[in-house]
Amino acid sequence: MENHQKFLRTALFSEKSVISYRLLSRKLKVHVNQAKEMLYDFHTTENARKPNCVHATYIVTGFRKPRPSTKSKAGSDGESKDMEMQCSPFDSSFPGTQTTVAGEGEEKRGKKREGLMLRVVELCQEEELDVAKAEFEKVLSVHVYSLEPVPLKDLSTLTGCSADVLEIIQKEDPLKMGATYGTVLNPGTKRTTGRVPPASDPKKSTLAVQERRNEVAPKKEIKSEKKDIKPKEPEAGTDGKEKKIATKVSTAPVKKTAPSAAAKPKRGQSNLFASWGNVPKKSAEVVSESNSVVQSPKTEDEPDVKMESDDDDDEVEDEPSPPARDNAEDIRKRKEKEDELKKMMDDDGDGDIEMGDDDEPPAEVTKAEPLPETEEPGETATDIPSTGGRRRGRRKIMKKVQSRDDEGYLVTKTEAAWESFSEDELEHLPKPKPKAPMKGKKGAATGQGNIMSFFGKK
Amino acid sequence: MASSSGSEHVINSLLRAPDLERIYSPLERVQTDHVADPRFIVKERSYQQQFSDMYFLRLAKLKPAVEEAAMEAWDDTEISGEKVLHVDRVLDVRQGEMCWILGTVYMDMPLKPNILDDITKDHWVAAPPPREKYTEPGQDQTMLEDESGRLRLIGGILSTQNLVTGCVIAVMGSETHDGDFEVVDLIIPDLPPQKKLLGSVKKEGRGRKVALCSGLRFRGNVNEGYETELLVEWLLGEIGDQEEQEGAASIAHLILAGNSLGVPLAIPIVAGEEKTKKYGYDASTYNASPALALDNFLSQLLPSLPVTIMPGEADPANVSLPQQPLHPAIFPTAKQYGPGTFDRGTNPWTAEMDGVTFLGTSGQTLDDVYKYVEGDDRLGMAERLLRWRLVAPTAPDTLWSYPFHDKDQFVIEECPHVFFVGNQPEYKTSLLEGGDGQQVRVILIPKFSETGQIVIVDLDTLDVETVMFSLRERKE
Repeated sequence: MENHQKFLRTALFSEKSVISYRLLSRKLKVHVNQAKEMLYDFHTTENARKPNCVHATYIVTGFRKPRPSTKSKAGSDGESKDMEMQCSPFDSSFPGTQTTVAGEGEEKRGKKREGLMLRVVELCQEEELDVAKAEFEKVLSVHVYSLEPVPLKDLSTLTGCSADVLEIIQKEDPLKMGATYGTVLNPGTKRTTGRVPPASDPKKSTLAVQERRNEVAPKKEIKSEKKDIKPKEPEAGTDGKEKKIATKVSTAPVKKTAPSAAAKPKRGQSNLFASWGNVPKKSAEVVSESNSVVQSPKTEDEPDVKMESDDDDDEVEDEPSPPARDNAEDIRKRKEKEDELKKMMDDDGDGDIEMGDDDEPPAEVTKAEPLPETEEPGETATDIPSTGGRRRGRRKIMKKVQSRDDEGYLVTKTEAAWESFSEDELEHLPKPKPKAPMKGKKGAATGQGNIMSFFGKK
Repeated sequence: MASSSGSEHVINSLLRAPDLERIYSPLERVQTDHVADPRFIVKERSYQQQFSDMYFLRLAKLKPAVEEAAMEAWDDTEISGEKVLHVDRVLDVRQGEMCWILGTVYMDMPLKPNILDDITKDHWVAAPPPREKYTEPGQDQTMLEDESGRLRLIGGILSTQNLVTGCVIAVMGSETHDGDFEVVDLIIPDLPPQKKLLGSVKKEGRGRKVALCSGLRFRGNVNEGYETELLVEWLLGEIGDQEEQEGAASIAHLILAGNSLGVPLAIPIVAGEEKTKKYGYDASTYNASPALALDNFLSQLLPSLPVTIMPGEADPANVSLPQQPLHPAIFPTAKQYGPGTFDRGTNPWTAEMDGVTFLGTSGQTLDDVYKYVEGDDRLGMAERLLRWRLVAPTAPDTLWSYPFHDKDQFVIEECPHVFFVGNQPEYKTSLLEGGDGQQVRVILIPKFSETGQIVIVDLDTLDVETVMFSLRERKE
């Protein structure tokens, strides 16, 4: 008893703050109804001691006639008029069906039954309380909503109060504290994970959102770093494609390979990557968990978690990559892939494709994939086993073939070759083109050596 | 939920001195099983097919029902000694011969946006502002088309029908000298068959209710409408006395029917201007505060109350119907709650709650139909949607839509028990009854941000009630 008096005195008189019943109940850990009584008690006792030192705001609930002036609820008469105008042509037009006749009768009945009263929950200040109550046809309950040192100029100032409440309850487990405060309990509440939701106060999360935005830039940098690193690791090659295909085919194979990879240190990078489609708060714990957790039924319904994990696996699989290949070629392709991916990500951002559709982006990447991959081995490969069950055709293309002749000169010949393509790949047609400069470069490199030897001979 | 006793004693039950010994009985929320129907989820979006498939599928789907109804009504009908014949194809209609045909309605309206106009235009001028209505008396023409061709319909009966593009109807009449088809009578599919309600199987003897709310329009400002806060407290069962709180405990589910997020700027939304918003969502100007406010709202409610959130016109989801569930990243805290407690629904959305079927949209469907017809009777339009057996008849003509190619999901095959349309200017309801004993509660949900109202549906009786949250500002 003394406790709440003391608390309210400090809060109202010293701190000059507004105290709502909810805030009081959260602060003192009491039932909301008790908090309402405490506020009432404090209001009467203090004002008896010193009139008008505390101001109260009330909640009135009950039934009221809809105000004709407000457009919020149509007057019932207007409504039924509308109905009749509407219904009668309908009826007349259906001599054959008895449906509408019954329908109309029922509609009218329904209208009457759906009472003319409007159930109202109204917040009002103590000066207005009597007026407000008088406007109600039937008052169900009245209680103190909040106490404040001076009358509120604007009822919206109570928002500050609710923000305080929010801050308190977000630090607590809502499922446990509900009983204390008298919130309606729901035994059926299901949480996605066993974890207690992280305490998040609104300010922090706003910050976090901004941070996340900043993260986008660093992410790109890291990617380019990766690219630079690649040449040094000879094994960093084709696994990229494999993994992409794996992701497309199903998540199952990925799951199998992922644990064997066991490349934990890499995750630092993937964190940033994963954070892309997700909220920052989650990232750290979820990502580290995701490998083991993803496939468990619990999280299966959470598309974004899956997305993270896919990306995660991508990174993980980079590590145990098998055979060495032409590095430069791989780097280039990787870059292309990444650009494509980036482009796709950007598209996701403002297009109306939902980001949750995690299977989509990888699938599209794979579509583009086989083209460069199969071309690689001979460098001149023209016959491409096409992938999907799409329409496909063959086309004649001119290929540059380089070979070294007996005298050690590099000969470039243009040969006609057939290439098969699927309709979907049409847009990737220009692909082979960027290849040409690459080869040109390589040719130049060797060519230069030749020139040197030419001068040497002289 | 209504209290029976209103005496002063009961009213002021909380205006009393506190007693620490007093025991407040804890309240438990009533439970319902609800199963959302995934039919509006589009898993693989392929845009290789034509939109015409939808009309074809729709006609194929609705044809048997209309044919049956027409057969019953018109079979063996004789008009001035002439027997009315059924003609299979629109193009087979012979001049002067009484017959009946069926097909899909196409409204030819000069004011209606037309994609072909856009394509043929040489250069772009600023797009005209969206119209409130496409109608233009005397200029609009009603066409009936099927796989074979198209026929212009005339006749006084058409104006009473408020037809829109896309609905499947049967018409009886004859072709005039001008080649038009003079309609004498007209039949629409009418209410589809309905699953029988299992009657009131009350759990623990308590009524079960579902709350419907739309247009919360969180802006994340300091001056966020305080009504939403009152709404939270009421739904949580914190406001009011014990009786009021018990009422809140009987609400088993909350459905947010679209437009939960508002524009982050403090510009007040003028009714009718919302249309422009769906264009030009700019990621660079993204302001998270509305989403955070929504997340806070949900994270307070979810421990106590299961919520389904549908995307709406103003929400960050795809624009074309069916709108897919909002991305979980929008709800950092709320997404901790699993399906069954926190569901991200589609728009349109359909689900079954303890045997009661719900079907609803966030309002675009009705708003678009509204543009086709004269008048303001939105409730009648909503009822007509059910009678046409189409959630979104005007998709894909004037309403953006995914080109379904295996099934037109907008066809209502099973009559729902509750049909709601969100984001409407005002609350309206009716109980529609069909010839086969179907009973549908049709509800237009008002915008909460403008009216402060939510709608409560009783699952046992299909009765509805509105609850209004208001702030009484001081009159100076």
